[in-house]
Amino acid sequence: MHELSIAQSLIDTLTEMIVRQNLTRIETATIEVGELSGVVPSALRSAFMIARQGTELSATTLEIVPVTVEIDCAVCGKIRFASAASDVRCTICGTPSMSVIRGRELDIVRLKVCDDPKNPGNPHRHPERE
Amino acid sequence: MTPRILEIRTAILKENDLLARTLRARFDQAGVFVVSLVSSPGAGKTAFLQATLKRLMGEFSVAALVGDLATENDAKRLAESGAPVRQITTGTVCHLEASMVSEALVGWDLASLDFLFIENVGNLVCPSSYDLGEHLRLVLLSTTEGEDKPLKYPTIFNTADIAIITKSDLTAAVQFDREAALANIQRVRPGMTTLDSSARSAGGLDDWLAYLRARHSIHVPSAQHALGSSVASLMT
Repeated sequence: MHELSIAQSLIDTLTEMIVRQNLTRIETATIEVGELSGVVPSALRSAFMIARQGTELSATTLEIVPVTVEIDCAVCGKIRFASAASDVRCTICGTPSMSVIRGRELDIVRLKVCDDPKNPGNPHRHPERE
Repeated sequence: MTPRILEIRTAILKENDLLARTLRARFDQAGVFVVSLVSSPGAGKTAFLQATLKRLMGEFSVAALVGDLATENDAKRLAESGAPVRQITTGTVCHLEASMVSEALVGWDLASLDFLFIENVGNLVCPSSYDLGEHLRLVLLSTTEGEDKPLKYPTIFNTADIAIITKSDLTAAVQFDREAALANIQRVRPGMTTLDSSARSAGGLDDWLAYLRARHSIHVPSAQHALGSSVASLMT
């Protein structure tokens, strides 16, 4: 459903990086998808496979790292894991919390990129974009 | 070819986030308080918003944007209040994004408004990912939807600021367990403010309007009401 919109935004953001950073190719893109992001990793993967066709990311591998919800527990005074997205409470003492530290991510965090030393320019560069 | 690793952190929805932030800054500068509404289809967003607009019209300068896949029906209904309303027709897109809001506002003088309401496409899933630049996000849950909804759709509740029960006048007829619904809301969004409402009953919006006025006066403390300008001057 909306994973296709998200996949499209991912393609757009990665394409922009290729241009901005003068990259030859992105071999692997690693993204973090938090439990509270509203996005299902498997659906995003399927959508990415569709959306990347015919783009500069058509051969890029997508690595998805799910992120568990972590909350700042007021009772424990520490950062703890929360039980589930539908029940945001500390796994140790059970107190509900809205101080979400991790779990909302929908971020690109790492790129494995290729630079061709024989051709330092980016063959994907479009002169009209510069 | 030497592969290298780039460690970065960039939001996938960076473009939407940036545009939403720009919109929010514009709204702040113009002194307009922006409220968005999300719910499942049929929860009563339009009726709720229509009644809200009517109640505010005499005292404040208000306008609304409404998103639907197709038809202009909701915009027509909302316009019956007398407020300026624009329809955003998304085609196949199941949610509103900041770019759609930005485009829909072209030609409106935001400084002439006290309130701008944005009614999202009826959908409890996708809108949660997209910041529209609003100051307050309402999630509406009707008594006819059952008490489980918050547990089934945690993210939309988790990303909203206040939950409003709609169609409260039907509570007995559908045997809605209000306490269970409120408990479920607290499970997915501890500490969430909840209000009851009924767009079709006298006084059914009083709690909501009191809350809205309070939020507005905090946000725009020295507000001169923009009312006094006619609807025509909304257009730049």
